[in-house]
Amino acid sequence: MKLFNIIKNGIFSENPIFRLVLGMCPTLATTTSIENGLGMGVATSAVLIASNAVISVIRKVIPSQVRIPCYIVVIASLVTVVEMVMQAFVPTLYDSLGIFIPLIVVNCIILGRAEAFAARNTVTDSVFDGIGMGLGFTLALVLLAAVRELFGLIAVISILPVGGFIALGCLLAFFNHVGRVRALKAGKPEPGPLRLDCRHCVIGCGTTAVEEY
Amino acid sequence: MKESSRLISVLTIVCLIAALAVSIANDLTKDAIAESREKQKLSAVCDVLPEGASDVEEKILVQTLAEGNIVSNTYYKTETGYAIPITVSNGYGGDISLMIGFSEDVLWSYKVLKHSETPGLGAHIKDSFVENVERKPIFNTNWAVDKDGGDIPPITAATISSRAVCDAIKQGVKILKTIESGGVLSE
Repeated sequence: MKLFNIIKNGIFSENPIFRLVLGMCPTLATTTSIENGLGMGVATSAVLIASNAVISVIRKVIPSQVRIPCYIVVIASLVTVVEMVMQAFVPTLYDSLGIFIPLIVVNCIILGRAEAFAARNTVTDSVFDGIGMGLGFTLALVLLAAVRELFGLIAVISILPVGGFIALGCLLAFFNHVGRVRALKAGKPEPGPLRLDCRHCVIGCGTTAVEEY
Repeated sequence: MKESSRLISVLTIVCLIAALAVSIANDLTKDAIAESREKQKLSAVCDVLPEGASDVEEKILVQTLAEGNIVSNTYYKTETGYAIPITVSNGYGGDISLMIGFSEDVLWSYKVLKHSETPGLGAHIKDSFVENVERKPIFNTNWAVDKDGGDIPPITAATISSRAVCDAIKQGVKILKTIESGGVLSE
């Protein structure tokens, strides 16, 4: 049940794109077609699941001062492996995603989950977090790509980079609205941005925290 | 001191293990990658020539240049024309590999086999730029972008990528001339 909740968490309440708003560059760039969005989602998920697993395994032997370089090395190696596998077995997809495959290394979802989840949880939990986050990312990419392709039939602008921003903005507004309405119906306070505000910040810059929502 | 040497050794070990894993993966996928590249090349031959290109024959043109250097080029001969793979290194993002198809006296079409041009700008050498050069007469066209005094309108904001493709075509035309004149390059 706990594992199921971890997956659900990745898809809905902490969806990397619509709730955490992470990894925007590949999101906007590769959603020009459903096929590309799906390919990018699957490639990122593969890296995410593997990196969560590896980082969770080594989390106790890595000193915290050098954890970030270690994570980056792990992630970069996994991306290289995924890149070679794609080049060998799905060359057409590899060609159409092109430069965005190596850029998975700097996708903040992967480093973010390594730091926020895999570094503190067991291997099984981390793998399931990877699956959930990967599914959430893939579904969000496919949804965005579907919207862009659908409107692309009417106006080409939807396929162009501009259309990506507009479509993403509308979808974000829609999901925020749904979240708000559901919270109000349940009698709960309106949900704020997820763990991205001053209340959850660990940097401690000295400014006072914002008021409760 | 003791602390920093511990940090350094942990990082070194992590990097070594990662390098080992990547090199193993490289060994496992090397052959499959080469095979799929080869397959792509052959299907590109058919794509850049008029329909019905059959009996693809792989040939190698060996030329001795004036300085005594020996250059060899692979090319593909079919019933409907020649397809010549060319790689140039002056793209905006590095090497660009093209398969260029020549049928009778026109450049039928070309296909990008490999490139690292900017998505949305130079990457248009894959699609919209093809229309700027295809079906043009091979010998009566000045294969250069119009900024350089040639006949080809470049991609807006991606002159360097367009120029690299023109250079590749120029090389292809030179090789085609050599093939048609019997295989001796006079330079």
